[in-house]
Amino acid sequence: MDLLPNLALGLQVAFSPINLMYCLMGVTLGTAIGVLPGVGPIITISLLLPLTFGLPPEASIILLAGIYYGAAYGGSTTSILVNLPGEAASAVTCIDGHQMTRQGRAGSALAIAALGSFFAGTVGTLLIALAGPPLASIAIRFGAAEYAALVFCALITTASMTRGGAVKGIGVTLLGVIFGLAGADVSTGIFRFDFGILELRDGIDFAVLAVGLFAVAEIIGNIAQGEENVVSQQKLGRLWPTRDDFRRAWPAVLRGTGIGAVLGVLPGAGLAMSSFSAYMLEKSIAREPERFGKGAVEGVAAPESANNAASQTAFIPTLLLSVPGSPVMALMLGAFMIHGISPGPRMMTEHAPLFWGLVASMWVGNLMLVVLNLPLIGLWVRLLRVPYHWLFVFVLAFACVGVFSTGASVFDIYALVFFGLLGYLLKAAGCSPALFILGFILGPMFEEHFRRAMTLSRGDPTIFLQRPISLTFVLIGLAVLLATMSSFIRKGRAEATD
Amino acid sequence: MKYGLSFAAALTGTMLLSPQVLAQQAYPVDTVTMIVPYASGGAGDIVGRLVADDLGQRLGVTFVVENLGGASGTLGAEKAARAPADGSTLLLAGNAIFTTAPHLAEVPFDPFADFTAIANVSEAVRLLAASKHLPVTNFQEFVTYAKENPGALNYGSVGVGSTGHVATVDLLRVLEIEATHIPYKGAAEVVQALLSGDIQFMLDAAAVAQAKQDTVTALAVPGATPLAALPDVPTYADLGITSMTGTGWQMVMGPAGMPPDVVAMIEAALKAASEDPAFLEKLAKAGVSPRFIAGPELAAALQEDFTKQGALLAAIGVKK
Repeated sequence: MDLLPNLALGLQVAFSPINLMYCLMGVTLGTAIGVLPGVGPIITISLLLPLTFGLPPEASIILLAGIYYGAAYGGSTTSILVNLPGEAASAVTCIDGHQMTRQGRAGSALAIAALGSFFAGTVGTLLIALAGPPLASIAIRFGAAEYAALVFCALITTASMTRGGAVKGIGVTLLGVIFGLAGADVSTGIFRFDFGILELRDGIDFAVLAVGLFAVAEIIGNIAQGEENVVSQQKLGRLWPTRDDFRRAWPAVLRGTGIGAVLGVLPGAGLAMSSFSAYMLEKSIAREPERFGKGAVEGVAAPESANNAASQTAFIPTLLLSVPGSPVMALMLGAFMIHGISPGPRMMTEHAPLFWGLVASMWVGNLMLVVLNLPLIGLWVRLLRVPYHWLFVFVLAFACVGVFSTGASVFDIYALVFFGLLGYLLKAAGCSPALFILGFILGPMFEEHFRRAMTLSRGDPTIFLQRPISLTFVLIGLAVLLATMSSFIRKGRAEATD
Repeated sequence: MKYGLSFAAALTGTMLLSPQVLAQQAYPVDTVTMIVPYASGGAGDIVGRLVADDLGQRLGVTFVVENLGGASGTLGAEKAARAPADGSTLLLAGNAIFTTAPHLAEVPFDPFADFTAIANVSEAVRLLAASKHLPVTNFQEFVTYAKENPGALNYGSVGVGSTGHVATVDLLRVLEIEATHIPYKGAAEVVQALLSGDIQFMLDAAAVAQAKQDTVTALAVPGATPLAALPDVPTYADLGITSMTGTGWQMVMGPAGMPPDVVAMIEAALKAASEDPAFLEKLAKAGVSPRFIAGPELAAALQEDFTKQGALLAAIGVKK
């Protein structure tokens, strides 16, 4: 492939002054909406879409793409500072990111998130340029059986890392599954767990759940502890990561980037799943997993790299298959079509300047984001000087406005309060909110793909063993399961002989 | 109040310098809320914004779009049904809200008694397409293959009881073909399943973009008008298939009991829009086919479709 001339063409398009300006506009806006919880890329892009009708296609797509990956970039800021996930994909960053803030390492967490995102964005962009078509062909080899096996493997692997309190862990995961199942059952169209409430028929919005479980629960917890304990949170600490932070973070960034890049290519797997899987992987392979949840820098580096890598590689199925993997990508696809461009396998040749211009602009945009964000860290961290009894009012207000703006529904505010209380109770009971979210995301996904695969095979379960990709995932899952069980049995014997 | 009204009308009128403003009679309110009962970003939302923009100019009043998604559009429809019937609240609705949703689950409104049908704006473009994994190149070969392999084929739709699902069931009944329905969460998932070979055919707007890239086999276009993007693909009419339901409409509706003169003003404005090439081009870019249907005919068509959908959904076994 003529990569160099293509990249040269792309850079030429991306570096034209007008496109540079739109790229800067996009990533700046993206960072802003990423920081604001609830105000997501979907609303922003759909409001701006009509305004881009008059622009040339390159400028318009570069602007909208900048908003999209800029939001994935900025989503971690409030997660780290005030435990308020700016975007659903950054929810998992709250767990360790905010603990780092409480230890006075907010600057370090923000810098690691920004640098990890930049690295992941660069790798993601390179993958689109170097391996777009082969990766796209992998995406269309994923049918229902492959997705079911992938989710099975992810569930088993993460469940096996629940050390201590297996019953509690399984219980809270299943609770997450039940909440995830609310709404219309895809296979039959029957409404489940809707209790006659119309709003529940679409299921529970992950953004509402994440903001409630993290931000609101944190505020309830802090107030319950009394103000004196909260003051310790105002430690500013250093602004730059220590050498030790870097040493721990870089392998996590690499692994997170890998997971995110792969899951991003699969339509429907989603940014939240990629950041989640990356976090769970770090926790399960860590030598001291008990550091997680207490400010482990890997717990920030891995998910932030993963969601940024995934947000870039998600362009592969959209651009090369015309299969958008998420609602935002569907909007991007709409933007292409409004300009009379049909994405698909011929995109790279039929619309070479647009394709390569977009790819080049993504890298330029990622560079702009890191330049834009690093100096902001000092400013963000200074925000923590605001006394907590002022700060939490603003966090609550932001959480409510953000959640309300996604659906203009008062019901979502009630749901926010509910999940805030639930999150507080879970924490008080010593249950991990991470496992709750794991069940919420993966449980319904597994059910949907499993039942679909069984319908396709007319009830023959060997479908999961007949297809090579699915067989591989099933075998990995079973191996992990066996290893976990044998270690449980050995531990049990050791305890019995003691 | 009166001063405010005429001032707003005069201001908008001068700003636009537009002969389109219906000068003979002022619209009774100065701000109209157009409820779009879907999340922002979908085809329904884009059509809603285009219509609101256009009606605002033609009627000389301010239109505000309010996205109120949820429960397949029934949440937004409920709000419109409960709004004052003075023309201050309108609804840009898909027909499934009235003809399908009430059959599938309890809805908090009466699909006919609670609404005024004002006019239809556009209809969804659909395409019947087969996977490239299937050894067929056109509609006749597809039908032959399907009859030789009864029960072997799978087709996808965006959900149980969705207009695409019901339309496919109806088509299969007419053609006497047996196939298994596989429901998905969105059109993109259905397309991916068609590309991966999990399903063998689909009937949805999303197939058009794929057919243009020649990644799927285009078989037929529902209705009688060929697609501009795929002029060689035969229509149902060309193939001798009639009595087909299940296309998606984007309609302007209002609460029941609206004053007839207000309804007439909006209907006239939509009629004028349907003859304006600039507006038609915007609709085409949004991916829908313009199709104006006046209020009384629309109401009758909805009633008829409601009955037919009820029968089909009962036959599928998903009617509540």
